[in-house]
Amino acid sequence: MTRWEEDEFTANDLPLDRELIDCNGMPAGRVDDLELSDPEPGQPPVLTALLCGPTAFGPRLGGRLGTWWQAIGRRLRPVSESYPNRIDAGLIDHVDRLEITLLAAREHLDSYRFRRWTEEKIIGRIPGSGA
Amino acid sequence: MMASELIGCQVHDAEGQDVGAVHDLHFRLRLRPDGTQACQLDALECGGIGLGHRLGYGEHAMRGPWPFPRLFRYLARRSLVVPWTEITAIDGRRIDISSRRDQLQAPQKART
Repeated sequence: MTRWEEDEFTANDLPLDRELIDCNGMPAGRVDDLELSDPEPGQPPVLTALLCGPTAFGPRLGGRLGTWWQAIGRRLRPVSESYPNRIDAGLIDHVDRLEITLLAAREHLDSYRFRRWTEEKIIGRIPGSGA
Repeated sequence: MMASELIGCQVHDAEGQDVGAVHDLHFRLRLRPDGTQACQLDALECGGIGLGHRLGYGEHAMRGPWPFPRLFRYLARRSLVVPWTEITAIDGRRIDISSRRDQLQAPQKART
């Protein structure tokens, strides 16, 4: 069960813009948006996932800048789908005002995909990089 | 649904009066009957000034530089909380609610 610092909080207070730390203590991205369930009649939506990356941050920026940011993010993605990187709410271990700790290693997260692709395709080909 | 689809939406009360733009979402933890945890969206915070909240001034977390804390806290006092149960329709960037603007309350929790 996820440990939250408070029982009642706002999106700006706790989850939004917090750094993600994986189960090994390594940085795994930043929370750019929240995914909520589609509300059923008479029922409020619930948090289902944390969303990361430019395709999540673009809509938050809004306007032309947000559209550009989102488009750049889409072009940089190694997969064709445009939905933001998703971290299921069940993978959240602990949430406080500084960071969000996850139950999974960053290598298994979608938010790490672009970094891994960069390491393999670009950094790894530079002689002496050690990657 | 994403949080960004709600943040920035313009809220209109039962008389069509503008309440302000949504700048924050209030969540509450609850336990489901099966024992699992749900982080439930309880209310929308709107009006006031969103930028001050984004910079931390609405939460009494920022102390300087003068005169921003006083200014942003003054503007944040004009925020109103719209319970999710009051929402009657979400149409694009417009949210309609069933209560009047003067029936809505300011955020109660004094954050430290």
